[in-house]
Amino acid sequence: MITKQKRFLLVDDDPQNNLLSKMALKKSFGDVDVKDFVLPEKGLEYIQSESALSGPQDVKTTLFLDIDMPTLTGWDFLKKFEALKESIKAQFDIYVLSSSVDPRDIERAKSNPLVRDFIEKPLNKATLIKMFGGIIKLTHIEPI
Amino acid sequence: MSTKTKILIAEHDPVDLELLVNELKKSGINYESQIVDNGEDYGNALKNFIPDIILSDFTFPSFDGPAAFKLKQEIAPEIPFIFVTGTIGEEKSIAFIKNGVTDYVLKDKLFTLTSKIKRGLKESIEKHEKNNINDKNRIQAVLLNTIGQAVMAADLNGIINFWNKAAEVLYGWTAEEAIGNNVLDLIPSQQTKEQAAAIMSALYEGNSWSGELVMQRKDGTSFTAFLTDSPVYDSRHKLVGIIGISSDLTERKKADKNLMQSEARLKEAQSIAHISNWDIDMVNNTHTWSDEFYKIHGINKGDVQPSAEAFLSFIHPEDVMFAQKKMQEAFETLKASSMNFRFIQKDGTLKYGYTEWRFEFDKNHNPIRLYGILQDVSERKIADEEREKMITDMVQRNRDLEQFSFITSHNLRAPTANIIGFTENLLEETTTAIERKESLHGLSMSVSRLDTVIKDINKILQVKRIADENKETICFTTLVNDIFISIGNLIDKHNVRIKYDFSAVDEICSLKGYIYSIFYNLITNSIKYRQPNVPPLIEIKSKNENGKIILTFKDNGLGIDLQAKGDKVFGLYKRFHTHVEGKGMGLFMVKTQVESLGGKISIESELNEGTTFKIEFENK
Repeated sequence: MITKQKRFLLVDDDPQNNLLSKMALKKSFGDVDVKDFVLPEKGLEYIQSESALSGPQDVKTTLFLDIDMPTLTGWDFLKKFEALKESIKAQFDIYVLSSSVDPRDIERAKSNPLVRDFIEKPLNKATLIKMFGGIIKLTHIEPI
Repeated sequence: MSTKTKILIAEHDPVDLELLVNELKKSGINYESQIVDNGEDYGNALKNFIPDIILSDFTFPSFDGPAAFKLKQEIAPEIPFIFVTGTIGEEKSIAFIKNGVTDYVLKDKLFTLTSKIKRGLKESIEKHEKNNINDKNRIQAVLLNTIGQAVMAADLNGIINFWNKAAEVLYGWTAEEAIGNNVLDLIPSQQTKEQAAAIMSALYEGNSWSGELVMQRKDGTSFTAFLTDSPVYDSRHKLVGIIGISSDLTERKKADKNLMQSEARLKEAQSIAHISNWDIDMVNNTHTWSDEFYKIHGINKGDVQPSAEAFLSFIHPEDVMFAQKKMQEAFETLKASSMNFRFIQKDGTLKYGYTEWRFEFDKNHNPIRLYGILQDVSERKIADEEREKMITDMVQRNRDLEQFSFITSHNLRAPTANIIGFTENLLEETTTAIERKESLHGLSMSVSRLDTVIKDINKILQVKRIADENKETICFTTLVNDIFISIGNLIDKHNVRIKYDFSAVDEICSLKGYIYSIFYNLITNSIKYRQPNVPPLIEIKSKNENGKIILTFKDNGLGIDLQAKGDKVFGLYKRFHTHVEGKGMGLFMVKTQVESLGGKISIESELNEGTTFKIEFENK
């Protein structure tokens, strides 16, 4: 039996928020593959490494990216991500997950072609249903 | 007289003639004569012989004495005419003399002839000379009439006896009207009559007078005249009268007044604009400063002799070198230029000046004059500075607002979002016991974080509400030593070396708490972000520059990539290194405190090359 598992990456310097996000993902999707990085640099390294490429190719990895991080901001992260190979970039759907309520941040995120959407913290089941409403079922593919 | 006296004798009686001739011969007069006995010969003789004197009988058969006299008056009135008669009565003779007959001699008293002839001739010569003088006078009168200045003469009583054409034009009185009047009654104006009288008295004492006096025209209008009055003496040095020459000064007065007015206006303009002018005659090396130049420097005209050295002596000591260089440059290049500088007034007030100059050249292109303006631009400068400060304050305030907008969006909102998330988890029924425990823990952490942020914000706001009171003199050396002791453990642990040089400035009047915090934060920051395996070295220096105290903090630490992070160095909760604890408050607080003390902070750094912070404080 092959279970097409949904994969998630969390890039946020705030461990509390990462914990919250993990809880929400677990509640929504059950046993999911979630990796979190409090250092964005480490997240980028991981994306480029073998481990990022080892997963199933037909299911995209969802990346939740924070904006306000001390060593590398979300915006800087996106710039570095943009420079990656197309084959790598194609594997990720990036969502900005931020506590910001500043319309300028929201607009900036939405206008970035690499970003699918802006999501206001905290990440919860309701948001995830809105995001993945139609896809959730696909994650529970019956065995062939 | 070497020539013979020509005597015309009109006599018809031979006896009388002989007696007359005898008398003449006895007289000793060197003469030649022509004798006539009728009117025709007499007339010819008058024209051709041209006698110096005529001796005529009173009665002729075909002619008579009065006719002879009448004819002579017509042809040559100046020739003396003497009747030689036996018949004329005393009374008649006197009547003739009144009419111009020179004299008469009775035939029975011929011995009087000689003296009468001599007197007649003498009178004639005198009269002739007098006529010559009159001719000369006439030429002079024409001359006096044609010159442009009014000329008048008066006798000792002030009665006008000469009045030229220009005087007629100037005063409006014709010569006829003026002559015979007292000069004092005629021409001084009502206000200057007394003065004129005084001048007249002085003239009578023999003194000349020249000057300006308000005079009056015939039509009553007055004007300022320039007068030259001189006493006139005769050949025996006796005062006989006065001569006055006058000209109208109205036009010149008007021109003078206009000049004075425009000079006054220039002065006013200079005073209002605080612009003075200066001038160097490069040929004679003389310097001239306008009144405003002295005023700008707070000195009185006469206190200082204008010179380049004097000018330099007013300039602020820190600007003297520059000004000297600029002046030298000007004399070398001979080009127009300008400079801004500070100068100190006599009472010690600091002022800002601006000067601009140009050269004047002769036709051989040699510089002959250097001239320029000097303006007191202090007001503008101070206004500029105030405006600049206002703009800086506004920009700062705007930045603060943005900072707070950021704090709200991120620093306050982040823990709040977590609180919302954890609370939701706790409220949800499906949440497992483990998840509940985790959520409670997360909730507690987030609430603490929120509290910390609120406390930090409060701290920042307090810094911004700084007051000027409580300022004190702080000694940098003491301060650094205090900090050194307080963080002794840290220093020992990391083998920190602190070198300081406060020889230039060792004191500042400021808020001790802030200065301490600034020093403390920068020093501990340097220790915190040291290079691994390299003992930290911190060098702190002070200097005085343009009236500012400049402090530099240099370390050999990790450094920051300013190109990538430059804009965030002093931001709240910004950290660039993750290996050490820190919440990104230190530099933010340093910057906030420096700025609230009116200073500025800047950073120079390169990754792995260390960091230098530069702080500028106004030295007040």
